[in-house]
Amino acid sequence: MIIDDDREIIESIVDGDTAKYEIIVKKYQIRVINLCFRYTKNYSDAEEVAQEAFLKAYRSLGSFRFDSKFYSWLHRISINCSLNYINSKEKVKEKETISENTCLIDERRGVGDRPDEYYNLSELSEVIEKTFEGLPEELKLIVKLREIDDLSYDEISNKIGIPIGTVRSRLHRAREILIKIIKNSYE
Amino acid sequence: MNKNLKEMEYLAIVKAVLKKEYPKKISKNFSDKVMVEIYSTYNSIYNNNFWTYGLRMASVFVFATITLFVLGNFTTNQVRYTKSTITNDLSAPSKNVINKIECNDLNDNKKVLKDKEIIKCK
Repeated sequence: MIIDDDREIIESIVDGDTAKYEIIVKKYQIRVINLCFRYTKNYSDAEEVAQEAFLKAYRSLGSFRFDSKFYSWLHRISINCSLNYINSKEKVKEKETISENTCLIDERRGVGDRPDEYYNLSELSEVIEKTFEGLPEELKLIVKLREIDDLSYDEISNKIGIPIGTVRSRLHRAREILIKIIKNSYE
Repeated sequence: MNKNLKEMEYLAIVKAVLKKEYPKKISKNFSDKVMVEIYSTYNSIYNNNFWTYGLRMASVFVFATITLFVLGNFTTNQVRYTKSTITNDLSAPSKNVINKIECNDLNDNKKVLKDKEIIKCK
């Protein structure tokens, strides 16, 4: 079973269950790395900055008050880390006066070159999108509302007028189909 | 737990793809690197339940001991019990009151006498 509730996970971490932080990392790593990439413009630095953002978030987890969504908070931290990275990079550039070659070097030492070391999301996205489009309409709608629009089970239930139990079971079925695609590609 | 984590990772990929928020590639061991860093550097931040509990218990014990000690000393030093009956002589204050009243009466009498003398003169 996949744990959807961030609050439950975060409270366990703050209570001392550090291992649960891996769920948070796995849940948001792609979006955070993508966000950092928009600032850093290369994959290895994006992962480095994202790592720093996750560490910073872990350090301040005790002060998170659930006034906003956890991802919004993490998003803010990631942006701050990215901006710090840019500032420090600028300083290094000023000192070393290195040209664009730096980026080329960084690109080469980026995320592992061996295919078994990384997820190729460009390839995966095509398969996932195709599978999503092929889902039955009632499953597709639930996936859209939950995974894209981030609505809660209650909100979905009210919006389309079906019981929460049905929302859960449909979402579970749809997730199984979509996850199977990735399993087939990587396991 | 591992199966759940893997499924969580795959679901995150699905979500990122559907939201169109994904980089071209991402290291498979990214989360491992983060966790290794956390275990080596920050593990003590939240993983101190035992010590927190122990510290709380110790402080409660110390506080209770000090309180008992202070209360014990206070009662033994300040309160002295006796077997004999304590008699209270309360005459002194009433005497003072009586004296005062007498004085007042005297003053009043003097006043009356003065008044009478004035009338006589007239």
